[in-house]
Amino acid sequence: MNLRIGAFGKQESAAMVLIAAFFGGCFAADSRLLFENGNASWIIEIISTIQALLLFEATVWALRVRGGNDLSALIGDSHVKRALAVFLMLALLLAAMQPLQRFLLTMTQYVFVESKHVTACLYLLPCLFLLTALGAETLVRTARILLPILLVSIAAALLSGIGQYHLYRIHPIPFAEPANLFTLAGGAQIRAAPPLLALLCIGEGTQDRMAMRSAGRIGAIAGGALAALALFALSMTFTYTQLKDMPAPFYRMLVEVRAENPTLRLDRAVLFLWLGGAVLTSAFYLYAACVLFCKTFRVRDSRPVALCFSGVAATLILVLFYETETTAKILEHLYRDAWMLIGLPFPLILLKPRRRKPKCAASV
Amino acid sequence: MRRIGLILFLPLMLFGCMQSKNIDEYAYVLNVGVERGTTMPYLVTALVSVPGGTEDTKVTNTVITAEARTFSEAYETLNAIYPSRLSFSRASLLAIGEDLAQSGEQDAFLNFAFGKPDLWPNLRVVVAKPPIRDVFEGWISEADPSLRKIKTAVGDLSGVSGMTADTGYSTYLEAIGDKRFDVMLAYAGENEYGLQPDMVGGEAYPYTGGSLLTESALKTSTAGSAVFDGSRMVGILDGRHTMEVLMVTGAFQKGEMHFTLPDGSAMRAALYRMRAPKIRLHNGEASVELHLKADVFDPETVSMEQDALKALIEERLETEFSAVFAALQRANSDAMGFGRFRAEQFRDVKAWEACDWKSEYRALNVTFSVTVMLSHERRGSETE
Repeated sequence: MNLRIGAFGKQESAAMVLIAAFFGGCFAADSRLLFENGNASWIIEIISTIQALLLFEATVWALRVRGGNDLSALIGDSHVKRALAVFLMLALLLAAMQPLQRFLLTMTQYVFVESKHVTACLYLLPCLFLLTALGAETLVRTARILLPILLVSIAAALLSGIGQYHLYRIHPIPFAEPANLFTLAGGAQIRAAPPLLALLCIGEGTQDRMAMRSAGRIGAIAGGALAALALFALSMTFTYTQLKDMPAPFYRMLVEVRAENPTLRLDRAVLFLWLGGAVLTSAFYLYAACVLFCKTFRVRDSRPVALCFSGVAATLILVLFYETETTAKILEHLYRDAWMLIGLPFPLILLKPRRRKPKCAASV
Repeated sequence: MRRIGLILFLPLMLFGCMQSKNIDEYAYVLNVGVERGTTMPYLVTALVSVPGGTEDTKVTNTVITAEARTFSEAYETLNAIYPSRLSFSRASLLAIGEDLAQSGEQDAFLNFAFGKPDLWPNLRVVVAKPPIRDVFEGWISEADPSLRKIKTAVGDLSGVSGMTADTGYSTYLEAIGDKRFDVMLAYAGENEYGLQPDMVGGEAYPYTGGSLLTESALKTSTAGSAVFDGSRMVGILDGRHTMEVLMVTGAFQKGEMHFTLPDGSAMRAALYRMRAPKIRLHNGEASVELHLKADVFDPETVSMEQDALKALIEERLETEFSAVFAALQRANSDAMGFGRFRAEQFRDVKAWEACDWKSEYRALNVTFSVTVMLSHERRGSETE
């Protein structure tokens, strides 16, 4: 087997989950859907992180009961569960697409204004494939290196906009129907659950199951909290009616700073740092989907699958960029209903397989 | 480690230009203006800066205009009539003609997507007395080739004196789209224009600070504010009244006011915000609590006791706040932003969107309570 999982520690895997959780929370969502019910994205982020953590804890518990270090141990040889695993792979593929699609949109709309998205995408594709093909160890160690710079850039971005924050903009907070918030958080699982799902897929590379569990907890809580904080800052910068129409609200937040502000040109530098984080997140999800595919269907080498998955993700991103009525509908469904790819098969995979009764010995 | 190094190196390649263009091909638009056109609905004016102009200034500033139906059309026309390629990425000021602002028709024109053209949302927005070409040309001076004065005229004047409103395009859009408050924009005009009617009463030279005409190197000034009801400009406030509105919105930091004493003499005081204004809104009644510090200039010339002087300033300010609010209410303009507090009372987006705040605003009663802390320890002025 050449799955290129390698071995890594708690810090590395926690850093990877943190980055993925932050980018999933802040950059993967469609603004129109995220803000259609008001400026409660930060509350939804907190609830969806808790929901994802509960799912993760249940999986780790199932692994402890049945023995095994990663998700493939729960899938086993069951054909039904293999079919369910395909849904999880699709979920990871979609989760990988979302941040990249948003970033490409930002780049073509604000930075490389005269460039086409195909050109911009071609720059990203080699990075995406290379990272996916090099495997888990490379990914998580890169995340460990990238994390401090990313945290500094996030802090700088949030602090530079502090003069624009006004608390009145977060109102009205849709507390009238709390159940609605939980439903919205459930719908956000396509963004909140994949970091932990991907960690479960590459669990074999962590020191043991307990190390995986604490890395997942630390990464998801820190990443979710950071994303909630950033979304709260965003909510104080723009009202929900403005946010609904913004394709890249965080980038808009960066360019809100006044011309006299010395951090004026921070936006481009920060954007490219964040782009690095988004590419890493997408590669992490794609690689996790590769490992799940290889282990489920007994494929011995992850690299051809990585090439295939990267190509599929990039192609889908490019296809969905062509603004037609059909692609708009597809995109809306992807953002609105993709949670089902995780929410429906995951609990079924956790179910204990029914033991087959041994056939009775042939009567003498 | 080498692999990690390679991975970190690869994204650096992303910084390269995709379609490189020589920097000399560009001319930069610093100000954009839109007013009512004669042959087309809109007349667009651009103040263009070309680096490497004359030997003395190294920068050439010129004003060009084009009539158009949409912003894109104006963008293309301006590009066609100018020898260099125009870049809007450094534009820092958007001027709306007073005639257009009064009709409220500017929104259809300004409804362009950022990025095409590459305008940034951190533009300052002002209302200018047409023709905007003259207003822009009034800002051009050999003493200020970088046109820095335009930025200081609005931004610094607002921060230092409170006599004008420093409003960004994003805030303008928020006011139009969200309907929680009405926007107030800085008012720019040529110094030679005459008196303008003030919303509260009387006349003023709002663009020169509300007191007197000036002769200076720059023929255009910015002060006072244009007040809006939604997209439509409904009046002008002079510097002092602008300051009072900013005190209620919380944007005021410091400024100077004159008060007439009972014996007919005048007294000047520098006012500072002590804490954020406290606004309560309940059942059509609003209360505004303001805490200010007043440093009296030349206290030895003031013939009043401290307590009496304090009471006089408080009473005068409360009366003026009520008068400004009444004028705004008559014009249906919530420039003081009471709607922000109304929105806080909702727990459902649909209910808030169904709320007709402007109807409620027309019947709103507001009481102003001003507390002034007197001080004779005068702080250094900006000039000092």
